[in-house]
Amino acid sequence: MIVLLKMLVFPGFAFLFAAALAFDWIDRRMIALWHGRVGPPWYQPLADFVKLLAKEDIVTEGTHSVAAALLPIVSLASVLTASCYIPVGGTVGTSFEGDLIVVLFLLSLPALAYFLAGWVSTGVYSILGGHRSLLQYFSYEVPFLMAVACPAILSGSWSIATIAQAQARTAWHAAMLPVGFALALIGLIGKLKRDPLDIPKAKSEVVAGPLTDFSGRKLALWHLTMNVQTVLGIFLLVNLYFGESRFLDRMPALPVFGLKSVVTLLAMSTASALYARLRIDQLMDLGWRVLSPLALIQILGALWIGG
Amino acid sequence: MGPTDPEIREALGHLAQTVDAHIKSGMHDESVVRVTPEDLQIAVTILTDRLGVTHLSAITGEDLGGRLRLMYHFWHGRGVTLETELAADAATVASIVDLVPGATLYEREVHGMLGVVFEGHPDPQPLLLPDGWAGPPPLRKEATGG
Amino acid sequence: MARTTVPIGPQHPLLKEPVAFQIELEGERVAESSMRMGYVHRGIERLCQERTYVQNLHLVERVCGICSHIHATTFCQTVESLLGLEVPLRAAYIRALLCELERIHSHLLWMGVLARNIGLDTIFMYAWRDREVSLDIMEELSGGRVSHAVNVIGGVRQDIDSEQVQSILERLDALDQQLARLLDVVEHERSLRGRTKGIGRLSLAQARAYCAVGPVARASGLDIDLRRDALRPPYDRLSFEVPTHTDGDVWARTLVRMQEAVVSVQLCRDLLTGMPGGPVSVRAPRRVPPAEAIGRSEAPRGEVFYYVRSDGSDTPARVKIRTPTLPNLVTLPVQLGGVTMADVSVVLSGVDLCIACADR
Repeated sequence: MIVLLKMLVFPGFAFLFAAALAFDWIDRRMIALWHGRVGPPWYQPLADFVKLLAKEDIVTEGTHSVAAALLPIVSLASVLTASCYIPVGGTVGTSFEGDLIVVLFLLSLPALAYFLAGWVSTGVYSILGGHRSLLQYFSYEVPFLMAVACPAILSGSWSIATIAQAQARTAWHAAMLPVGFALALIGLIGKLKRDPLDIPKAKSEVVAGPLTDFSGRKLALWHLTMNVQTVLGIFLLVNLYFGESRFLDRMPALPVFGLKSVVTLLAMSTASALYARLRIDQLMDLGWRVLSPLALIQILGALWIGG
Repeated sequence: MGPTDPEIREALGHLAQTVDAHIKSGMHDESVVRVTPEDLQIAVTILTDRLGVTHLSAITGEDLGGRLRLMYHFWHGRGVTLETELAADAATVASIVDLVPGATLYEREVHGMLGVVFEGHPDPQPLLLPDGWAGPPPLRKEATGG
Repeated sequence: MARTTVPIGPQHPLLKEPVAFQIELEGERVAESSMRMGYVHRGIERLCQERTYVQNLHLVERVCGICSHIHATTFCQTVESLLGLEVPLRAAYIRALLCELERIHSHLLWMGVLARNIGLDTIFMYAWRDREVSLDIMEELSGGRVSHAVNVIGGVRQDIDSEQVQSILERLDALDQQLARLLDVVEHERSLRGRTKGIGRLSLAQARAYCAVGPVARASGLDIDLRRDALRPPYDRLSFEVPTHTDGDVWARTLVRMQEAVVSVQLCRDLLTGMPGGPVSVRAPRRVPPAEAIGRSEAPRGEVFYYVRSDGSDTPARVKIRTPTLPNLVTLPVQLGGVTMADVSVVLSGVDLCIACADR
């Protein structure tokens, strides 16, 4: 019963749904602040979601309709499954040694589904966007995985909850592995396909990339998946790099966690506002010539500090 | 800055000696030379080689009733226009695209709007007309009813 | 390698106006490109033949939304040439003032669009916010933000008083500072440079051969500017810089346009402070004698060319309009050769297409 409540309400689906909408709103307000605008009201993400649900679901001729219907569901399901293992302010659905690997796997399934969404659509923009999304995946995923592995190496455990708690004894991993945190953040921006790494869905180039032909309920699910992925990605990074701290253990855990997450989100929003979109070859250059070597160095650093 | 009036006059004088050209007056601040359609390419060559003109501003076409008038407006610090006339039912003239590559879209527009055939043009599609335009060229007298 | 054909247009998020490009990609590189225009062809040249000169004044202002005033001004100058009319100097100053304000607004609009197309929405917001200053000034002077109807044949419709001059000068100072900041960003922001430097190269020889005009030509080193070269009042009594560059890529064009906007602000100041007194229009005769005339001006995108022939009736026999986007479109296949798909949007943005102008 408790497990069911945890899964459905907190820190499960209902909480994630609310957090996804809230984070979207905070993101848009922060970017608007940088733009010198006001930004949307608090209910805008919810209104957008509801509106999309009500819109006509067009399936273009030649699209594999079963695949097109299943892909957003599979995407959403995989991120929601990943949420079982990610602690939120100390509360976690379940954890076991090695759940970090499972979460990383589950969080990279949406990337595959995204590519397949472009593959099963017939428009040229979808296919181009799909190509780019795979190229992008190979550029950010390697440094991201290595950067996420560093805290695990440092704390000697592959369970997210354990890594988060281990920082109470030592210090925040972000303080000990700052390069790792930066790399993980960049990798997360790539994973979430946010500006400046929204190359697969660059509006002025490939219209909407793999999702060009999606509309209505399917598109609503895709957007929800991306928003939930944003939330979970941030939660993951906060747990791994800004976990529990002995200086803050007197304060209530959930608000502190929320604050850390929001600050991370604001950092990502600022990156969105400040940089122009990279070209795919510029990203590949960056990923393989700068980020991956730095990640390797950080792993060595983690081994040295931990050992 | 472009050439002085004497330089232009000298070049146009040379043009008048080389081909059957007639220097017109009447346009304020613009030199106008009338040549025959056959001499058009030579006239353009004289302008580009002797006077160093490179900039073609526009090609104006007009249906004067029975004959079509083409004007090639060059700019070289001063305006220099080459004018030529074609018969409306035999509207063919050599293209100057290999002399002035920038003429390509202008010639296509005159082709579409007036039905002039530019021999040697690499892509003789009308520029602004809809696909499958079946009527007369829109600026011809039969189309404007003038 | 297999070729993919990517259609851009007639509707595409990249394009403000309908035009169709067919881009053939080999992998991610452009192998060939072709263009189809005429989607907004309204037959304005033909319509001009069926309307009086005064009606045509309002018609040609609607050739383009962004550079409406320069079209009306050039048409007026051409008709005034036909009539042998000399407009009062004060009218020429007021016309030029609006031309320069239009240049500022057009370049800032373009800057925003370029920024948006490369994913730098922040600069889009900042550039369009700064553009509001020039639009507000134009609205105060003429009653319209983008459609001014200031010209009459023989001068301008209304005068400007010293209070307006003062308030405009203050706002120009603020605009100057904002433009300086934008120029700083363009010159130093690495991600912007990374997306625009080296893209869409047009050499000086190519610019000359294709008769390119405006900032596209000036960015390739072709030093042409009809404000300075045609020696019409009031530009013949003002000294101003004409920014050029040598690289011929999109970044060079960005620099040229931003620097031109800065020069235009200074020109506005000079025009306001140096404006002579006198009437703002002369009476134009009712009948236009049979004659022909040519008018050339420097629009924000380059040379705009008008030819008008009158046959003595109250409608012109021929009005020929050649807008600056047309020769710049000829350079597109050259610019698009060998760039990646991502750069196509940068190149298309960099050439500052005004399809309504090109199609007429």
